[in-house]
Amino acid sequence: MGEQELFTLILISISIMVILAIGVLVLYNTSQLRISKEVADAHAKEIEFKNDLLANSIEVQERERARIAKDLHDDIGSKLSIVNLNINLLKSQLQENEQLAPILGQIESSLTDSITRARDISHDLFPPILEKFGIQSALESLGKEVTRTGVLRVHLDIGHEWKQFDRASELHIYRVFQELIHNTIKHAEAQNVWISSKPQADKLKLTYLDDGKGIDKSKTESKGLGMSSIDTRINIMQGTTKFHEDFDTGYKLEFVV
Amino acid sequence: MFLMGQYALDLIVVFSAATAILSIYLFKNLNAKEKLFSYYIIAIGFFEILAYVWAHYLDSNNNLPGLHAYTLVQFILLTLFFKECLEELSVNFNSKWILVIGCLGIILNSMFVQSIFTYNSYSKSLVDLYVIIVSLSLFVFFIKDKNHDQVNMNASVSFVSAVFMQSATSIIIYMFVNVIIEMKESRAKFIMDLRTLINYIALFIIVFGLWQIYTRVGIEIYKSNNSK
Repeated sequence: MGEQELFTLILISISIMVILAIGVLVLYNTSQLRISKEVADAHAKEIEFKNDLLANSIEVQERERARIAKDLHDDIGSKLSIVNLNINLLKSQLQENEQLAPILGQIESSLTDSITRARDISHDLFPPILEKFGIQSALESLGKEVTRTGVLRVHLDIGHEWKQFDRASELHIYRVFQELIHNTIKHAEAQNVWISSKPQADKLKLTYLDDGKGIDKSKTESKGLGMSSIDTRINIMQGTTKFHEDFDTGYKLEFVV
Repeated sequence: MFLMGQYALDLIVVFSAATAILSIYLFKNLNAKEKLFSYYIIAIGFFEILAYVWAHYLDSNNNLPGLHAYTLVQFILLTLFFKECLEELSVNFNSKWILVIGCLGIILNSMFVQSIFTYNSYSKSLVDLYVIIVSLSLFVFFIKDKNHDQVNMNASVSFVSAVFMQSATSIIIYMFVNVIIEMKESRAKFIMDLRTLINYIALFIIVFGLWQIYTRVGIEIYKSNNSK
C-alpha cells in the first residue's frame, strides 16, 4: 500500500470514528427529545383523562343531587306534610285529653323540624331558586343565608346584567361560590366575603375575596377535592382562572367565563 | 495543507485548563459519577500543562514520562466512571479485577517493556481499545435503556462521546505511528494537526456536557420548587 493510500486510510478511519461519536451524541439527544415528547404527551393525555373523569363524576353527582332533592321535596316532604296535617286534625280532636295532647305536641314539633330539615337538605342539594329565578338570585339567596348564620358576612356586587348562561353553567358558578364560601368558613378565619362580577368583552369576570389568613403557597400544589372540583367546573365552562394568595389580605380568586 | 498553526496547538493547553477550571466551578453540582469524570478533566488539564512546561521550559526534551502517568490515571478514572455509568443502567461491571489487572499491566509495561522515556504504545493502545469497547457498549445501553434518568444521563453521554472520540483517534494514530513518521512531513503534520483538532472537538463536547449539567441545575431547582 502506497503512502497516499495509507494517508487516505488514516483520514477515513479517523473520520469514521469522529462521525460515529458525534452520531451517537446526536442520536441519543434526538431519541431523548422524542422520549420527552412521548412522556409529555402521555402526561397531557393522563391529565385530560382525569379532567374528563372528574367532569363526568361532577355531572353524575349533580344529576343525583337533583334527583335526591326532588325525591326529598316531592315525595318525603309532601308525605311528611300530610302526616303533619293528620296530626293537627288528631290534636284538635284530642284537645281535652291531658295525657295525649302534650305527646302530640312533641310529635308535631319534631315533624315540623323534620319537614324544615328535609326542605333545607333538598335546597342545599339543588337550589330551587336557581331554577326559578336564575344565578344572580341564587347567589343573593346564598349570601343572605350565610350572613344570617353570623359566621361570615357576604357582600355582593352582582347587580348589573349578566350574559345568558345555560342552566348547567349557572349551577357550576353557584357550586364554585358555594365551595369557596365553605372553604373560607372552614380554613380562613375570615369575617367578610366579597363576591363581584364585571362584564369583560363577551364574557363575565367573577371575583371572590375574603379577609381571612390566605393560603399557604407551599400547599397550593396539592389541591384538595374541593379546589379540584372548582377548577374542573371552571374548565367545563371553558373559563380561565387567576389565583391570588396573600397572607395579609386573604384569599382571592378571579375567573372569567 | 497545515490545518493549524503553533498558536492553535498551544491554545489547547489553555482550553484544557479552562475546561478543568469549569469542572471545578461546577463541582458541587456534580453527582458521584460526574465527579469521577471531573477528576479526569482536571487530570487532562494538569497533564497538558505539565507536557507544555516540560517541553518548553525544562531542559529535558522528553516529556514522555508524563504520558505514562497520564495513561495510568486515565485508565483508573475512566474505569471508575464507566462503572458508575453501567451500574446506573443496571449493568454489572467487575471493575476491581479490571483495575488491578489494567494497572499492573500499565506499570509493568512502563517498568520492563517500554521505558518511561519512550512511547508507551502497547499500554496506551490497549487502554484506548478498552475505552472504545466500553464506550460503544455504553452507547448501546444508553440508547436501549429508556428507564434511566435522562436529565442526569445527558452529560455522561457527552463525556463518553468525547473520550470515545479521543481514544478512537489516538488508537489509529498509534496503530499507524511508524507509517506516519515515515510519511512526507506535510502529511504527517496534517494528521497530527487533525488529531489536535479532534482533541478540540472532544473538549468542546466535554464543555457541552458541563453546560448540560449547568442547565440541569436549573431544572432541578424548578422541580424541587414545584414538588413542595
